[in-house]
Amino acid sequence: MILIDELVHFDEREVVCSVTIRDGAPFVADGRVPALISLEYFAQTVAAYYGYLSRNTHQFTMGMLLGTRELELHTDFFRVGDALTVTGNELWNGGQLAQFRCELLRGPELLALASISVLHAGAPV
Amino acid sequence: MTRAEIYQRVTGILVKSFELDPADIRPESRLFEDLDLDSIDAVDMFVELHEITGRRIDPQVARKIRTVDDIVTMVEAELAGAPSAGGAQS
Repeated sequence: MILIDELVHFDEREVVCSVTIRDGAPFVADGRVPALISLEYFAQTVAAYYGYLSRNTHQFTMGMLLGTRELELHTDFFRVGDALTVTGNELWNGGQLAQFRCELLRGPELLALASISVLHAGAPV
Repeated sequence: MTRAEIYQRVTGILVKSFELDPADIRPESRLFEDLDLDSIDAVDMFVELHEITGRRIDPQVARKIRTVDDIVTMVEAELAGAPSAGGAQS
C-alpha cells in the first residue's frame, strides 16, 4: 500500500517525496485524512530513501518503522486535493538502526514533524 | 569541556530522554542492563550526543559503548578531535 506519489529529491542525507491526497485513496474518509497518517507518509518517505540508495544493487530489503519521538501535528486533517511535501533527513545511521527527522509541508506551511527510528535490515550503510 | 562537564551533559541527556532518576545513574552503570535502555533508545541517545560533539557518532564506536563512562570517554575523544578507539577506558 504505497501512499506517496513521487520521490522528488535525494542526496546522501536527505530525501523529499510528494503526495497529493486523492478521493478514494487509503485513509480518505469524508474527503479528508487524519493528520496522524503523517507517520506513515514519513515511514514511506524513508523507505523511498533506502530504496533509491539500493537502486544499483537491485537488492531491496524489508524495513520497519520502530517508533517516533516528538511527533507534532499542527493540523487535524489533510484534505482531498492537498499537495503535500514530505522530507526526511538522516540524523544517525548505526548500520541497521537509523533515525530521521521528518517534516510534512503544504506549500510553505509546516503541518507535521517527527523524529522516526527505523530498522533497515540489510540496506547499505 | 572537562570530563566532569561532559558527564553532567551525558547524564542530563539520559534523564531527559529516558526519564531516568539521576540518582540511578553512575559512571559504571551499564546502559542496557542497569538503566534498562534498549537499542531504539540507543539510537535516540546517539542523535542527542551529536548536540554535544557536533559530529556524528561513528557506528563502529557506538557498538562498543556499554556504560555511562564509555559514553563520556567517547565524547571526550570526539571533542579532542581524535577518532575514539572505542568506549572502553582502562
